[in-house]
Amino acid sequence: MTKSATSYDDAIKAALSGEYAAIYAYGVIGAYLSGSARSLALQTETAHRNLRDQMLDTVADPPAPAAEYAMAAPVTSVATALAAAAGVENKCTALWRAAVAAAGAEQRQSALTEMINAALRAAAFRRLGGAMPGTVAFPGQ
Amino acid sequence: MVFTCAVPRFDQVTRRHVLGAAGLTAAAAAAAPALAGCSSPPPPKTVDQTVAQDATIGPLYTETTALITAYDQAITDNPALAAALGQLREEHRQHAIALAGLMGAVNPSISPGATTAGPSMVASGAPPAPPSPNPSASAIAGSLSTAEKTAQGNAATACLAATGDRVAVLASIAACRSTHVAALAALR
Repeated sequence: MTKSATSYDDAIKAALSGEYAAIYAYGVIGAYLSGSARSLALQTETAHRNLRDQMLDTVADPPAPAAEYAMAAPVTSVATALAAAAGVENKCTALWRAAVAAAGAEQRQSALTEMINAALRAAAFRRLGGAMPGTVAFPGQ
Repeated sequence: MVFTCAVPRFDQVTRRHVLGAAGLTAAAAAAAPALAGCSSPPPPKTVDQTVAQDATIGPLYTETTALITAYDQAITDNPALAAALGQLREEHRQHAIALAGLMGAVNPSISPGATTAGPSMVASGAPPAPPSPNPSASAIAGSLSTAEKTAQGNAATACLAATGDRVAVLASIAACRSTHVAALAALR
């Protein structure tokens, strides 16, 4: 099956919009965390910012960030912050998975790398929340 | 795919035969010409058949079942790890089912639970074997991690070369195996 350029463009723009949302979310999440969890959240936020900047340099006609964002569920504690972080990474995994599926041969490796990075972070936040091993069979599905 | 015609389920065929004995209904009569084109649908392939035929997914399937066996052995060697390793094993089992599906094979029969060896039976009169110490969690995690890394690379390579519906499934399998390596590192 041949994927059209349009569907890959749509998928990569959706992934960029997901990066915007993730950056917003870590501004909320980080405030509730300390120690190694806070370090991971800060490191993750930086990764999302770097990816956003790189995409703004390379994606043609990139979408603008939304005027406002809302968390999927209230973040009021360490537990809800870790759950929110896992949820954000799960969503990014799904968006990048769609980009992998739509990508041609030249773009697929980079999309797969971002998908895997998000899946790794989702599992890491689940483990910090007490789930062991914190993995799922089909990340992003 | 060659399955361009609906393959009647066994129970539907039986029902149609019953209807035929009592006189065909209008609906059954209308369906009959369509079914005539598929009078001899190929039987579902077994996993063993498809593994040999599919040069891309076949080796991944074989590697996945080998990982399941490795997890079974690890859980037998160190039952204290059963909870964490059992979930990783289960995820590989789900991958095996998905890979079989991609090859058009019927579901493989892989035990959903880890199969652990029972206590070894010692023939009466033989000297009892000295107990061998269980491999440490660290040693087991290290060994499994090596296998997972290789398998992850193979799934990623297959994903990059795949087409159609296979791409997303292989991407998820590759990503899952990456998370397994990280989870095993957390066990060490």
